[in-house]
Amino acid sequence: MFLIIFASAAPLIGGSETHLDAIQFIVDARRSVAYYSYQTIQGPPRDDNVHASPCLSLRHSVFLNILRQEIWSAFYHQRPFRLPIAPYRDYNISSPTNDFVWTNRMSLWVADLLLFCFGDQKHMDVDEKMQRWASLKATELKWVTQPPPAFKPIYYQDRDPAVGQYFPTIWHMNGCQVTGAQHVELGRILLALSDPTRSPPLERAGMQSDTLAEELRIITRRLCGLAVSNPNHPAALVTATVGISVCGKYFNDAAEQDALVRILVHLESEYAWPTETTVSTLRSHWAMTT
Amino acid sequence: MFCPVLRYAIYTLAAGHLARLAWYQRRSTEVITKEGIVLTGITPHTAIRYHDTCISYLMAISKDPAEEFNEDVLAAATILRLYEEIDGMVARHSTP
Repeated sequence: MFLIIFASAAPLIGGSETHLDAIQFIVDARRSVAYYSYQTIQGPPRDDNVHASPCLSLRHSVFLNILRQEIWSAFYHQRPFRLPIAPYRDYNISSPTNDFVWTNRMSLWVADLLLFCFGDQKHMDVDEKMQRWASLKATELKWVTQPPPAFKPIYYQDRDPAVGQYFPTIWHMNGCQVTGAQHVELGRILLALSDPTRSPPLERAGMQSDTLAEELRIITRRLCGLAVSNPNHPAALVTATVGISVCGKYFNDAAEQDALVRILVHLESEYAWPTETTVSTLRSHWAMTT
Repeated sequence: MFCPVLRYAIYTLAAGHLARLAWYQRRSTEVITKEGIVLTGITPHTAIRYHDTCISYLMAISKDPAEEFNEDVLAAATILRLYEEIDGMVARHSTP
């Protein structure tokens, strides 16, 4: 039996213990590991009977939700990823599949990157670190050179700051593709921050090199562009916010800084997702660095 | 519904969301509305009450060896986590 202490359900309010820490979800070992495996991320077929018990497809959906929540949380707080991922990770699998499976595959890749960036790499020697990073980077390169055809944007336009357009326009056919594309950008941020070929390699976001800062700005602009260009998918604003919280400090242009803040304010006022803390943290940082 | 844990988890998240939305949009939680309908029973403390009720059902399940954790309870815990993460973000901003 594999005990998942539902630490991911424990609130993050100052690390205090609450009653949710008492929850222990006992999941069968074979099934629990399979949920976070690239090979089987597509999950079981949907149950025809909505009242089926156990309802394996609902369980799989919940586990996918947990995966995304943990990705956001680990990224935002820059801490280790806390869910078990299957140890055998072969990202070369590129069998044609639907948008949902592709997005879940890339989400798993981001989870693996989080595991590497804020956890595993501390215990690796230089060669191991390089090998692992290269393997994760290869997945990103494959996405660039052989992307799933459906994920090509149906419309793209470069940003034009001169007319107040600070982010590129990137239209996708559905919210799932937007989520997948944004997770690829989150992965790119993690790859840039953990690049062992850079000197010195960085584990946490910090203003250390101009080329790194520029690379992070470019990625963040795409992340924001995906959110702004696809307003029918407001969850994209949350993913953009996660990226802005980590990379917003690299933006020096005042007008661009305001554009980032507008996204954060819009998310809070229209969808009640709190961003005041992120806004004030960014403003303090920008004030110190001008 | 057959699963009070899931029911109250959904109520918790929804009540918290409506109260926060009212605050962010009008800086007031005196009147909370949804699509033009005034929700007189919802205050900023409603979510906390629903949360307490949900947790008490959850504790009851965890203590009863005859009960087992099913997908509904797992879904409820996921919903609760979202509520508590958001609530934590609000609390961190309010704490001096």
